Amino acid sequence: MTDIALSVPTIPEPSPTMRLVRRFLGQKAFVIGAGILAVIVALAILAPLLAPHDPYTQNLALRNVPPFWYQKGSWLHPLGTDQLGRDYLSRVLYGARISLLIGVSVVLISGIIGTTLGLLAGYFGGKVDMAVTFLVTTRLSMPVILVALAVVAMVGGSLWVVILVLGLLKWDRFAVVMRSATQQVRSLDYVAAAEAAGASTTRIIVREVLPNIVPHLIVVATLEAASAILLEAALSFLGLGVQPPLPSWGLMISEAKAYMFFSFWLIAIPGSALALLIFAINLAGDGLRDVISPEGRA
Amino acid sequence: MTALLEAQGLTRSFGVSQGMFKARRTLHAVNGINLDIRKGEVLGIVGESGCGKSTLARMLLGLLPPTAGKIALDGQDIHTLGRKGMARRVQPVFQDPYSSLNPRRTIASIVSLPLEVHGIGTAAERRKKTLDILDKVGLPQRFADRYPRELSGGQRQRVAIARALVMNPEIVVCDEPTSALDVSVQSQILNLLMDLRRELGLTYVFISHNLAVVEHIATRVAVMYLGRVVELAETEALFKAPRHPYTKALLTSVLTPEPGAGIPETGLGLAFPDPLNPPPGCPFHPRCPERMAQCSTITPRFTEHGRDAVACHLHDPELRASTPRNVVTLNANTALKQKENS
Repeated sequence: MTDIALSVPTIPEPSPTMRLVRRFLGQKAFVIGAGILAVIVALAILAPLLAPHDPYTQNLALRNVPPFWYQKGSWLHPLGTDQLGRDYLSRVLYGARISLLIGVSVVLISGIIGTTLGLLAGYFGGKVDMAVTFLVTTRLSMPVILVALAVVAMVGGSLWVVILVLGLLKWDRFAVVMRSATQQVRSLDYVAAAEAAGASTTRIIVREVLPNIVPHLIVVATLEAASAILLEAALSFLGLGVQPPLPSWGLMISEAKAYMFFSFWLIAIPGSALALLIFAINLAGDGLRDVISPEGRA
Repeated sequence: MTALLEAQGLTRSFGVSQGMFKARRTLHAVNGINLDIRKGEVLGIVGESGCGKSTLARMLLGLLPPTAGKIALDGQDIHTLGRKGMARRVQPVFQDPYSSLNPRRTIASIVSLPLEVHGIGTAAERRKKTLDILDKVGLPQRFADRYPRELSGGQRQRVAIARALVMNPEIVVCDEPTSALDVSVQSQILNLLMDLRRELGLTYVFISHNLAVVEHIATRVAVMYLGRVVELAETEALFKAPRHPYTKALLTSVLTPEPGAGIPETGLGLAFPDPLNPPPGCPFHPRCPERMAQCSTITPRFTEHGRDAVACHLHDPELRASTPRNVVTLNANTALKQKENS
């Protein structure tokens, strides 16, 4: 009777990785978001090769040159020049590096703080949980932008100060999400089985709990990165973030606001770039959440 | 026979929050249990949902510290053995094979975790031991590098059993090991457990709400009700001649596959008492068809009858001698006086 089965051509079963890839590709939002994000990351990394000019070189003879689609524009400066005659395309490309650097470093710092706190609170519960919940509540009662403004005003603004301040302030969502995810995993039998096998608490947290909450971590990280980039732009716009002549998008918007009515593109180009980046990250993050935990769709 | 694992006055209570401004109340999940588990036996523990079976299992495994009482393994308090010391001798098999295996680990990695934790052998030796034990529980070795999600419920439960046995423990605490499985798979797992017991000389604590399963596998049975053991007897004696009214009711509750037989009438009514607010006296008295006056005031003692024991006034020789049965009109005071006199 086994002979019959042998004659049937076997369709190879898709591997788990393949199935996951298919699930990702099935999410249009994720594909679009991740696609735009990938392009922006590539542009930022390749900025030195792609930029037509040095983003810092000033040419006062060629100030406020409009982009190529205006009559006065030229292909020499495809996106025109700013009020100091610096090539705008080059500055936008280099600005992407600043934004992405901010997003990644802030998420790294706040992710480590928040995940540690959330894991401890969720795993041990009781007094530890109460202490962490208190910390989170305290942190939530402070508006990020105000605290950041105060600190930057005292210490002085620079790229690294902004990263540090935002990193030390934005761990709350990591802590809250990781806490509840850990609580869920903690109550499962495989944690009890590891305990019964004699595994140490550290081993259980690292080996049994952490790998199972990573999906949640990734989702929070994308959304927090977007929010950090926006906050940096806001701080730079207020003159308390990244300092000139660094080409931060927020700073570029701020510098352009005096020329808003005469050279509209000066504010529109970095503004659109910022909006596009945030849109892409949020789209990718939402898509990621839908793929990883469809039940958590709000 | 000497007790391998012994529980004395084992109690576990939980503080239950009733809302923000109300005082926390205590729930006695397990209330003063005395048990001895003898070498080589299969002690079945049965009872309704919520009677404290799983809490008892977690305490016997050393996963949950008792609020009062102690557990001794070979006469040594398990508290002094430590997590690792316990792990070498007592291992669990849990109910739900879907939550008892880490979804992000391969089968080999799950089964060899205890070996890794205790630093036994080299990586190659551990691998060999893992494959051997997979073989023993009836899983093909090619499953070693698969993930739990690729396995069926029965196969997963075999993995859980392999993990429990890889350290050669003496006692395996099975907390409803078959109730999450299909009926057809249940018997396979039960037979596997029986075979392994014979082969490896294991002692089982077998928790279940399924009486048929317990009758099949256990040598002795403890019946639990609201955190207490109400009857402890050899399996055959318990199923042939149950003493406690609750045991009788449980036995009549077994569903038969006979068509048209309907749902058996147990006489228990629908309400399981609120464990936060247990009835005074015998905890079973509100549902008991044979209750007497003293049942609502005096907690019955555990009296021995040969090799068996039961906690019921009906079987307490002293009380039975002094009170006529079914005198419900007797009020509480007289019952108390009678106890003082006796």
